[in-house]
Amino acid sequence: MTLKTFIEKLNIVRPEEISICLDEEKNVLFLRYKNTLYQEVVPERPFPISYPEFVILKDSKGDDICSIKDIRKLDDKSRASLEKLLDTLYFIPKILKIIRLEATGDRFEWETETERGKRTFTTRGRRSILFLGNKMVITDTDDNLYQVEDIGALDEKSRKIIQSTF
Amino acid sequence: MEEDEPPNNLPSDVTALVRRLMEKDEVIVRFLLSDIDEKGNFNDQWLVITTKRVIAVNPATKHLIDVPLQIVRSAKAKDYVGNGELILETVVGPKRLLRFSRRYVEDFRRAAMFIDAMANKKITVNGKSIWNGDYWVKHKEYKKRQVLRWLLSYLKPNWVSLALSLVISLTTVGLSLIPARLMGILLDEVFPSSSNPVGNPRLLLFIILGLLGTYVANSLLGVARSYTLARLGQKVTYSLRVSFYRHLQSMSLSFYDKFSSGRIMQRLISDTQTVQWFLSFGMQTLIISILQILGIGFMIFTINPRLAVIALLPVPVILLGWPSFRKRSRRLYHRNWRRRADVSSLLWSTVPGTIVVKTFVKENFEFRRFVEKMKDLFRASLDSTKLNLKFFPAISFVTYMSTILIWWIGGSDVLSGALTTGTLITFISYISMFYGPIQTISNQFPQIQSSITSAERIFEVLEMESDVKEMPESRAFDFQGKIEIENVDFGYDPYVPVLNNINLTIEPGEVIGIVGPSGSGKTTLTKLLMRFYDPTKGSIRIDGVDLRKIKLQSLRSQIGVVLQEPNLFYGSIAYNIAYAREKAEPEEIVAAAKAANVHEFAMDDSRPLKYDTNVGTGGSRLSGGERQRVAIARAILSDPKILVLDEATSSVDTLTERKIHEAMENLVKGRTTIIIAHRLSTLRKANRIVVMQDGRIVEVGTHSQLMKTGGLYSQLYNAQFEKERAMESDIDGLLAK
Ligand SMILES: Nc1ncnc2c1ncn2[C@@H]1O[C@H](COP(=O)(O)OP(=O)(O)O)[C@@H](O)[C@H]1O
Ligand SMILES: [Mg+2]
Repeated sequence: MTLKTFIEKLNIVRPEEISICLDEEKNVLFLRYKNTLYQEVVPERPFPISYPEFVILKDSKGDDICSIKDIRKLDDKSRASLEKLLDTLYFIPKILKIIRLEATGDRFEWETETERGKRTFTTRGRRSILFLGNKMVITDTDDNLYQVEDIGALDEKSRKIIQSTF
Repeated sequence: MEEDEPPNNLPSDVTALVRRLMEKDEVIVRFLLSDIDEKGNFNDQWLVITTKRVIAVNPATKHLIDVPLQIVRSAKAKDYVGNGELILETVVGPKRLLRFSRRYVEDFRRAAMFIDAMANKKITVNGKSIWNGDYWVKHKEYKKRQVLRWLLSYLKPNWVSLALSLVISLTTVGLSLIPARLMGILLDEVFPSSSNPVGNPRLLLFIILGLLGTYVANSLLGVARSYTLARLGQKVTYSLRVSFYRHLQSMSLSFYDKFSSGRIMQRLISDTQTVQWFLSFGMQTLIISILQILGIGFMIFTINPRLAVIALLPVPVILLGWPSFRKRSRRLYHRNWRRRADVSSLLWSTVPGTIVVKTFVKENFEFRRFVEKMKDLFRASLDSTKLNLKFFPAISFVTYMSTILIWWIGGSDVLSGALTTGTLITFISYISMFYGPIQTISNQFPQIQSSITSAERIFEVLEMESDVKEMPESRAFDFQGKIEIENVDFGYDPYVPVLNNINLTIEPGEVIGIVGPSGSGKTTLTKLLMRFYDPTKGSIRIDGVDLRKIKLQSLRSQIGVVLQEPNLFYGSIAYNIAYAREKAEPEEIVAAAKAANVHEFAMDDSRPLKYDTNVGTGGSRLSGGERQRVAIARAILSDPKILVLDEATSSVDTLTERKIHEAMENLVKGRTTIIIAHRLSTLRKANRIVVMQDGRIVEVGTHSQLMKTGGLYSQLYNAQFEKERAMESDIDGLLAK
C-alpha cells in the first residue's frame, strides 16, 4: 500500500505521454511531458546492466521529472534521441566473443570482440568481474566497463573459456 | 560423543548400602553418577532416587545422605565455576546433597527437575520404576553400523550400477585366479616328466592363448569397473552434499551458536570429499580385496587343505589384535579431525577478520597461534602413523612366517612325492596373491579410517534435528498484525535466563518503541518473534495463533526485520534490495531505495554501475550506514505486515536517520511496527514505549506518560538530551570562533 505511494512519486509515464529530442550541442534532451517543455534534461539508468530499459529523467537542477519503464516502447524518434545520449553516458560495450583469456595469478588478459570492434584489456582480481544472473560485467584496470549480455548465448568456445576460468 | 556414557547399572556395593535404608515396598527409580565426592576430590559418588527418598552415596567412604521425599519442597542444581551442587529445599531448610563437575551439569539439572516434580507430585511413581525421558539427558551414540547403513541408503537409488560393478569385480577376481592354475598345468603336464617323457607341446599353445585371453579380459573389465565405481561415488557424493546443505539451512540458529562456521564448512567440503574417496575408490578396493581373499582361500583349500590350514595361521593373530587396534585408531583419527578443524576454524576467523588483526598489530600473535595449532595437528598425525606402524608390520611379519613354513613343509612333500612340483608352485603363487589384498587393505586402512571418521561427522550433523520444528498442523495465513507475548521466559542456555516473564500485547498497526541498556534482551525478543528460537516458557501469538502453529515460511515472509548488523550478500545493490522478492520490478526497487535513502548513494557518480554495483562479500564495499539503509530498503520492498527495526539506523548520521524516519512514517502506517532504538528522540512518534532491563519489561507507556512517572526512561532520556544539547552548544561554540 505504501510502497505504492513511493512508486507513484517516480512518475512512471506511458510512452505516448512524452516526446524527446536530442540537443546535440549540449548533449542534453528536450522533453515534452504533460504540456510542459523541459530543457537540459538528463537521463539516468539506475540498472545499466540488469534493466537498461528503465530510465529516470532529471531536470537541469537534478530533480527527477519522470521515469520510463521501457524505453523501447517510445516512439521511434524519441527512442533514437534517448538511446543516442545514453550511449555516450553509459558506454558499456557488449562482448560478442572471447578470443583469448589468459590468467597469471590475479591478473587476466582479455582479447575480445565487442559490438564496437576488437578490444584487448586487463582486469585484476576476482572482484572486477560481477555475475548478475546470466549477465556478466567486467571492469578493467582503467575502469572501463564491458558486459556479456547472456553468457548462455555466447559461442561454444567463449563459453568454455568462461566456464573453465570462473 | 564416544565418552561419558551414563551408567547402566548401579554397582552392588552401592545397592547394598542403599537397600539398608529402604523400606519393603520402596523401589529405586533412577540413579546417577557424579565425579566429585563429599570432600571435593574426584571420586565416584552416586545419587539414588527411590520412590520415597533421595540418597547420596559414596561407596568408598560409606558416606551417606538420606533425605525423605516427604520433607522435600523443591530441588535445584546450582552452577558454580567448574562444578555444581544439587541442593534440596526441605521443610527444615536447605540440604546440600552432592557436588558434580561441569561434565554432569546437564544430568543433574534434569535430576533436580525430576526430584522437584516428584516432590510436588507432578509425576507419580507406580510400584515399578519409571522412565521419563524429559528429565534425563540422552547421550547420543552413533553406532558404526548405523553410519554404514545410512551411507548405504545413498547407494540404494544407484543399485543397478552398484550391482553391475559388483558383477564386474567378481569376474575380474575370478579371472585373476586363472594364471596360477595354468602355471601348475604347465609344470605338471606340458613339460616332460618321468610319467610323460615327451611332454605335451599342443597343450602349451592352449595355455598361452588362455593366458592371453585372461589378461585382455582383465584389462578391459578393470577399466569398466573403475568407471562404474567412480561414477557411482560422484553421484552419491553429490546427493550427500545436497542433502547436507539442505539440512544446514533447516537448522535453527541455536545450531549455529554451537558450531563454528569453520567446523560446518569442514564437514560440508572436506568431509564429503573424504567420503567420496571412500565411496568411489576405497570401497572398490575393499570389495575386491575381500573377494580376492575369499576366492584365493577357496582355491588353496581345494588344492591342498593341509597346506591351506598353515597358510591361514596368521588369521587368528590378526583377528585378536584387530579390535583393540581399531578402538585406538578410531580415537586418534577423531582427534586428528578435531585438530584439523581447529586449524580451519582459526583461519575462518582470522582471515575475514584481518582488519582487526592488523588494527591491534596482532600478526605475530596470530602467526604463533597458527603455528601452535599446526604443531598440534602434526603431533596428532604422527601418533596415528606410529600406531599404524606398530600394527601392520607385525601382521606382515606373521604372514611371512607362515609362507616360510609352507615352503618347508610343501618342499618336503614334493621330495617325498606326496605333492607334484606344479601343485606346490600353484599353491605358493596363490599364497603370494593371498597376501596382496591383505596388504592393500592394510595400506589403505588409514584412509578408510579417516573416511569413516568423516562419515560419522557428517552423520552427526544430519542426525541432529532443528530445535525449531513446524508442527504438523501448522498453517499459513495473512497476518493482521496483532502480537501477544504471554509469560515468556527464554535463555540461549536453558538455565541462564535472558528473558524473564515477558508480557506484552501489540495491537495491529501499533508502533512500539523498545528501549533499554544493551544486553537487556531486546534483540532476543525479536529473534523469538521470528521464531529463530522457541521460548522456554510461555507463548507468543500472532492474531491469536501460536507461533508454533504457523508455517515458518508464512511467518518469516510477513515479518520484515532490519538488524543492527544487516547481512548483505555478495551481489549487486539491486540484488540485495530485491532479496526478499525475486521478481521485483525495477520501479519497486527504486521506490524502496528512495524511501530508505539508498537512491542517493546508489546513483552517485562514483558508482558507474549504479544499482548494479557489487557490494562485495557481506557488503564490505559499503559503509555501515549504507548497509543499514540497503537492509531497510529490503524490508520496505518485502512489504511485511509486521516490521521490526532493531537499531536499524544506529550507524547512520542523525540527519539521514531523521530522513529515514520521515519516510518510515508513511511506511509504518497500517502495519505493526517495533522499533528498537538507542537514540530516544527517534521514538517520540511511537504509540507506546516499552522499557526493558535485565530481561524484564520495567515500564510501558507513551513518551509523556513515562516522562511524568520519572522512571528509567526519563533518566535515560534526560541523560541523552543533555548530552546532545551539550554537543550542539560545543559545535556552536566552535563555529562562533
Ligand atoms: N547467540 C547467543 N548465545 C548466547 N547468549 C547470547 C546470544 N545472543 C545474545 N546473548 C546474550 O543474551 C543477552 C541479551 O542480548 P540481546 O538480546 O542481544 O540484548 P540487546 O539487544 O538488548 O542489547 C546478553 O546477555 C547476550 O550476551
Ligand atoms: Mg541488540
